[in-house]
Amino acid sequence: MTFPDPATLLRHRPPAVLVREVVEFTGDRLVATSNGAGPWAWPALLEGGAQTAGLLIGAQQGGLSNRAVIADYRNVVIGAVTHQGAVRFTATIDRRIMAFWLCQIAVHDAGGALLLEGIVTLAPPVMMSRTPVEVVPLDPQAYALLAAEGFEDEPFNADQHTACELIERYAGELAADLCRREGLDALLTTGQTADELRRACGWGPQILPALSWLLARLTADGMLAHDGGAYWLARPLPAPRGPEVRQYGLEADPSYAPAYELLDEAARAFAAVARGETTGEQALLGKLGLWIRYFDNRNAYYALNNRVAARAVADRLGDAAQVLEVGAGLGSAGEALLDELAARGTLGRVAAYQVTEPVQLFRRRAERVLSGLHPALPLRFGVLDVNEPWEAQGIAPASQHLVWGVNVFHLAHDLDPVLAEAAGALAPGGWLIAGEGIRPAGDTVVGAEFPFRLLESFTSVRLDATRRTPGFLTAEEWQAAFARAGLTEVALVPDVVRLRAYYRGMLAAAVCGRKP
Amino acid sequence: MPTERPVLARSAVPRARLEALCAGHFPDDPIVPGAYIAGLLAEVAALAVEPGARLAAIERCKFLVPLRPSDDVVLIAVSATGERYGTVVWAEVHAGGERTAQALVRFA
Repeated sequence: MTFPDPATLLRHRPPAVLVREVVEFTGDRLVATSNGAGPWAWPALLEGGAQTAGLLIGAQQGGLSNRAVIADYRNVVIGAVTHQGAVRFTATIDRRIMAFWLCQIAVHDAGGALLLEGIVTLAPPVMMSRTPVEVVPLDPQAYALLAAEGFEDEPFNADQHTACELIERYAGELAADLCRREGLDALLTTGQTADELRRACGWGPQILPALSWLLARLTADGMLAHDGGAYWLARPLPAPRGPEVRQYGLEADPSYAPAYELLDEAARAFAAVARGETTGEQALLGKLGLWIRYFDNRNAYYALNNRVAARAVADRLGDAAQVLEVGAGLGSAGEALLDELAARGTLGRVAAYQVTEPVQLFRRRAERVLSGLHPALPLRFGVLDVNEPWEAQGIAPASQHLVWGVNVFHLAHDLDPVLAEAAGALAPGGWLIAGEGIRPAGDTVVGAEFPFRLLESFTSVRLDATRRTPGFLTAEEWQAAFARAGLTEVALVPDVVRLRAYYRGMLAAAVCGRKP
Repeated sequence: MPTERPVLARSAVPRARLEALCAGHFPDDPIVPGAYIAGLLAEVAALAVEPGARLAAIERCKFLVPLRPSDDVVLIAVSATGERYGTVVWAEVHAGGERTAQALVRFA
């Protein structure tokens, strides 16, 4: 098959055109000769490989135009740093993930020696165009990993990624805004620890968890520098973009509105909590309507954890199962599980489903919602404080086939004893599943935590070498905690440890462990 | 008092060099080719490892926004980690105070 002259297809013009003639095209593979004989530094060899990939993808049904952009290079192995003489560029389609095309590229010299090889990802130009607020698309490799675990398009997808990234960005905007509003930027022209800063502002120690979050957030965004506990302004704070980010985020997914509202409430409460005029609990927990909207599966931001955990539970649910849900809150996790089981036609596997929640107001609402949706199911509702001995609260040892909770276990005052209680409630072979946001690394700040950092119940947890932060834990901390509870087959669904190579933010996952 | 983020190495890229890299890429819309950005990142990464270390691979190079020639393009090597197959350096390109690309560069 003859292939058109590359110079007529590429957007490049001399001297940037590095390919001369296509000498082989088999549909998913294209080989081209070089335009000249060098000398070629390795970046030029890589660029030639990318141009060849562009020609190959441009020739595909539904392929990309010559305005396509390079999203990334990966696994580029460099055999020769500089090379002279004509070369051959080879591009082979590796796979297509949504709008992204991944191609293997290789460059050989005239004698057939491999000079360079790697993978290039090509994307439509819109993926890199300047929008009111930039969001870097999730690495296609991450979607491939998620698909391999059965998360084909839901709940993880490009729209969800954009919406989650914008919430993170908004949290950063609020942090910068608080920094300006409270005059912290002026104080941070000299190095200050969080404690020195709050003393300089005349604030009480109760604000330290939230203030530390704020300083870490600004550091992560490159606005502060941090060394030995002290923070200082690395550059002037940029112009505020919060309203823009919020608007863009709500356009991306209007269901995230409660998540933005909660962040706004936290920002409004920050100074009053700092001055001791109110507590985080008083300022935030009184907003019942907001919490009801937030802890709802119609809020796709919060529903993410529920949906992921529900899948992990449904995958592990055997016949005639005795199920115990802890910290059920307003019932959204239970609702997600029952939806999942109904979709699979496996609701009949539930022999008994005990829904527990210590807050009466929440429990009653959960009962109304779940009983209303599934009146024929063997549902029971009761009180369980996970921090107190479970048997004394009516949960007999070895009585449950599955114990689970979403965003519950990270709130345990002392995680190990609580996991031990959960493991003790399991019959042999039973599963413990914790739906959690997973902190990517011990020092990574997570935007979603900001409101909760104002709540004493969130921050007053036992910290030691096994758990270094209040709030979300890392994958490794969860794995080790489950192992200490005597659980086996410990796994995270999806595998966030592998996903971390492609995404450095918080990920929703279910931590699963089995009683031997 | 330090005012810049602590890094292992930092270097500015002259506008003229960026313009040269953009020649023909593209007419009336100069954008630094990603492969050449990878090359720039490897250069700054090399400043963060032992002299004589051999560039072995670009493990990842991700482009966040298009890079156009300007007077404020800065390369930084953020960290270097000794791993089984050599030293891996995390490097970034910043323009106008914004990160535009990042890479993991491995040296043998």
